[in-house]
Amino acid sequence: MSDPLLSVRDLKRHYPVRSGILKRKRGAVRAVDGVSFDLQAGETLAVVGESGCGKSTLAETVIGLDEPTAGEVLFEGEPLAGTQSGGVLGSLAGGVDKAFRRRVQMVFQDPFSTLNERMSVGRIVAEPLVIHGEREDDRAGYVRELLETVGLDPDRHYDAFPHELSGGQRQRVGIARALALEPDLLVLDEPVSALDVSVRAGILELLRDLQAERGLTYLLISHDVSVVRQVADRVAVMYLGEFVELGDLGDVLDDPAHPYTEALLSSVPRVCAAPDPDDRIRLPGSPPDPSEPPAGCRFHPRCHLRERLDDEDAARCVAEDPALTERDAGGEPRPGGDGRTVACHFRPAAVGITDRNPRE
Amino acid sequence: MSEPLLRVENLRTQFGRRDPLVAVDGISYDLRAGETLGIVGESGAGKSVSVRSLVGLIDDGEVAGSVEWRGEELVGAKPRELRAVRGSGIGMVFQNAEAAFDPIETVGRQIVEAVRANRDLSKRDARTEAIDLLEEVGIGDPAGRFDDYPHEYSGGMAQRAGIAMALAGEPDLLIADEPTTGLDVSVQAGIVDLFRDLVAERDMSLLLISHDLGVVSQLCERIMVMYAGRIVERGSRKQLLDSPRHPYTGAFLRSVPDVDVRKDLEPIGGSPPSLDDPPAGCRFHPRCPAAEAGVCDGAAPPTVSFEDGGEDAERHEATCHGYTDAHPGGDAFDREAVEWIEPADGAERGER
Repeated sequence: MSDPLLSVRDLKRHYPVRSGILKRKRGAVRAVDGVSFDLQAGETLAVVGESGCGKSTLAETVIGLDEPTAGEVLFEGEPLAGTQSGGVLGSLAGGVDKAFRRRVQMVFQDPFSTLNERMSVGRIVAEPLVIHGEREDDRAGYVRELLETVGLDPDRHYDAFPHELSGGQRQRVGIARALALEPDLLVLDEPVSALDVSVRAGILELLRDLQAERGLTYLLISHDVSVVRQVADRVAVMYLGEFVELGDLGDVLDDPAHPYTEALLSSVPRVCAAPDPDDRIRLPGSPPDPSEPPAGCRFHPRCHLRERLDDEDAARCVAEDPALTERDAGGEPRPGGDGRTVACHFRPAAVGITDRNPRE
Repeated sequence: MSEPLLRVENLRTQFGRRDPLVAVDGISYDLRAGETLGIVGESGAGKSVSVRSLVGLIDDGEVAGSVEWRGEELVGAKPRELRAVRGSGIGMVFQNAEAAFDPIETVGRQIVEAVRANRDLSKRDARTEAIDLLEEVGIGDPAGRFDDYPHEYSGGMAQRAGIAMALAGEPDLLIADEPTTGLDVSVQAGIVDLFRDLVAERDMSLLLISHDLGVVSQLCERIMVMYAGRIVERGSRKQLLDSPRHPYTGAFLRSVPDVDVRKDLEPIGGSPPSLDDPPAGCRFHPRCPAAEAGVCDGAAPPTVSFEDGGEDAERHEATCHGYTDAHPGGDAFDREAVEWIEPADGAERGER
C-alpha cells in the first residue's frame, strides 16, 4: 500500500481547566487523548460519537484550526508544523503547511453560520481563490462551473445572497467553496445535521458523486450512524477522547465488537412498523466528565458487558486501560481477522459471549 | 367507540393580517383516550404551530376552527381557562427543556409549584409528590437533585425534569414537541423508553411531534404526515410505513438514511415551499415525481380513503389527485388498491 494521504499519530488536545482568582491550572479537559489513524487517498473515514467525545476537536486539530497538545499529523508522510516537530512559527513558513492548507478544506455543519450574509454566492465561492491568488483570468467562469458541479444553477444562484437560499442550497455553496482550490482532502464536520431529511439525502449523494469523480478523500465527523452508513468506507467510534473501535464499515456496524459501539448502534430509533422495545441495549448514565475520565477503561461505568464478567475480570476493566489493538486479552488475534482494532479487554473473545449483534 | 378526548376541526393558524402566513391550513383529527398519535414532517410543515394552537400558546397569530377538549371548546377560550387545561388536562413537553424552567429557581420548587397549582396538597405532600415524579421520570437520587437549579441538569436530565413538570397536573394527554431533538442518541433512546412507559402506566394519550420518523414510529400507533401546513396522509403506523399512498410519504420514507443498510439515496428534489406563497393546488406538486400539469397545480386535491390492514384497521387517507380519474396515474401509485374514493370534508373546504 502506498503512503497514506494523512497520518495522525497519538494526537492529544487538552484544554486547561483553570479556577480561582489566579486562574491556576487545576486540571485538563482531555478532548482528544491519544488518537492515531491513517487515511488512504480516495477513502472515507468516519469518526462517529456522541457530543463531547472530542470528534470535532479532533477534526479541528487535524487541519490546524486548533493546536495539538501532543502528537503529530503527517500529510503524505511529511510532518506538519504546529505538530510535534514544527512549532507554531514553523507553520507560517513551512512549504508542507502551505500546500496542506490548500489541499485540505473543511465543510461545516451549519452553512447558515459559515457563509457571510452580505456576500453574494459568487463571491463566497471565489473567496479562497482570491486569498490564494488563483485563477485570476477566469474566476467568474470557474465559479459558475463549480456551482453547476454541486447542483446549483449559476444563472439563478451566482448573484444570490445566502438568505435567498434554502438550507440544502447553502450547504451546496459551502461545498462549492471547499472545492474551489481543488483539494485532495475534505474534512466534513456534521455536513447534513442541520438539514431536513429529504434534503439530506441529496447532499450525501452529491458527496458520494464528487468523491467518485474527483477521487477525493473524506474525513467525516458525525454523530449520526445512519449518515455514516451511507458514505463511509471505514469507521472510528470515539468515546471520551479516544477511539474505542476502528475498522471497515461493514465489520464495525454489522458486527460491533466494542460494547459502546454496540450500545450506540442499538440506541438509534429505527423506522419500524412493529417496534420491539425490549430489543435494545440501554446505556445507563451520561458520558463522564472529560476532565476526570474514569480509571481503566473509560467506558467501564456504563458497560453492559462488564456486568456479566466475574469479579476478577471486572476489576481489570477498572485497573487497566485497554489499548486499541487487533489482539484480544490473551494476545490472540480477534476472530474475523479483518484488521479491525478494538479497545476492550474482553470483547469478543475470552468471555464466551456470543450474542454480539443485539438486533439478531 | 368512546368520545374522543380531543377533536380538532379545520384548525387554521395564520400570522400577520395584510400578507397572512398560513402556517396551519385546515387540519382535522381526533384523539381518543390512551391513543398515541404522531405528527411527522419537515421544518416549516406547521407541526409545532399546530399543537401550540391547540392550547392557546400562539401569541401573535390567529387561530380559527375548532378544538374540543372533552367536549369543551378551546378556540377563543379565556387565557385563564386555557391555563387550567394546560395545567391539568394536557401536559406539554418541548424541545428545549431548560426553557420550561425558571433559571433562578430550583427544579424541585418549580415542580412543587406546578403540583400545587393543580392539586389541593399541603406543601409537604406536594414535595413528596414532586420527588416521586422526579423518580418516575428516571432522575437518579431525586431527593438529592430536588434543590438543584435547572442549569445543573444535563440535557437529558433537563428533558426528564421537563416531563416531570408536565406530569405534575396528572394530565390525560401529553403533547411532546420534538422532545428528543438535539439530544444524543443514547439519551434520546432513554427518553423514548420513558414516554412508552408513561403512556402504558398512566393510561395517558400521547401527541408527539417530530421530524424524526424513527422516533415517531417507535412510539405512535397512528401517524399523520404534514406538508406545508396540511395533512397529506394519515393512517396506522403499519399502513403508513408498509403502504404509503401519498407520493410525499413514499419519497420521505425513501429519503431517510437507514442505519442498517447502505442504499441508493433518493432525495426529494427542491425544498419545502415557503408558506407565505405556497404553490397552488397540491402543495407538493412542484417536487412530486407524479405531478400532472393541469390537475395537480389546479384545485386542492381530494382526500382518498384506502381499505388496507383488515377490518380493525385505522382509516387510511391520502390527500392526492393521483387517485382520481382526472390523473393518468403512473408509477407513483398503486391505484388498484383503492377500494373506494370519496372526497372528504377537507377537500371540499380546500376547493372553496
